[in-house]
Amino acid sequence: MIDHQLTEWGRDPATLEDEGVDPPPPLTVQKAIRLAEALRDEGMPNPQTVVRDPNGDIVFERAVIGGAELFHVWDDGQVEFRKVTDGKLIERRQLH
Amino acid sequence: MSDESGPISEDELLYRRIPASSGWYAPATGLRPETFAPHRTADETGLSVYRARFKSIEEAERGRAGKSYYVAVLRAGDLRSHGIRIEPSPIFGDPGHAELPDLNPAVRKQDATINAALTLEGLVRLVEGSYATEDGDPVVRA
Repeated sequence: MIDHQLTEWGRDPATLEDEGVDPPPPLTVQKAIRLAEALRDEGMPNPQTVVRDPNGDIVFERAVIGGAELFHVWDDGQVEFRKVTDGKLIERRQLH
Repeated sequence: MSDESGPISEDELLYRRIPASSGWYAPATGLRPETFAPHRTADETGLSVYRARFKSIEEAERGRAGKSYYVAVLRAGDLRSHGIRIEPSPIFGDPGHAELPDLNPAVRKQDATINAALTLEGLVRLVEGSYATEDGDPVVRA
């Protein structure tokens, strides 16, 4: 499902543009697809949500008890893991 | 000092417009913190909001023609009690424009900005909409 969403975004990114929202650049989409494949290959639980941020970054999220775990693909190609509990950022580390 | 440049009272309500296409809000799943992530150009001097004193919620929902928008409602005093500054920033045609100056693109990757967005997500009192902006509706700045 995530792969399909990302492929759709990569196919026609201009349709995603809106007020104060940039479409994800092709490199960010490609990086996010590779991340989704890597998470799947490592047997990680699938993200439940994939969402764009205003600057065209892509965020994967899965709910965990008390919060969420997120993978953020930034515009510079960096990927980071974040953990949020009770509405606060409690962990953050760069993966690539 | 003109009224629109005057201080924002604790009880003032503020509107933040949310493009429906963004996926940052859905009635079934709620609001996401990306709603409050600063855009690299549109929010250069701070995240934009609108003061309810100067604009109806229906006006705040108007964006680009052919697009739909939600509006998140916040209270100024709630922001300040969490250390989030809000300042008037009137612009031509939009006297109720205001900004959250600490949420800007220069600091968008910092922990404090990410935490502020998470805090704002929790402070939203109500989300209204969505409203489809038609061709011919007044264009309102983001």
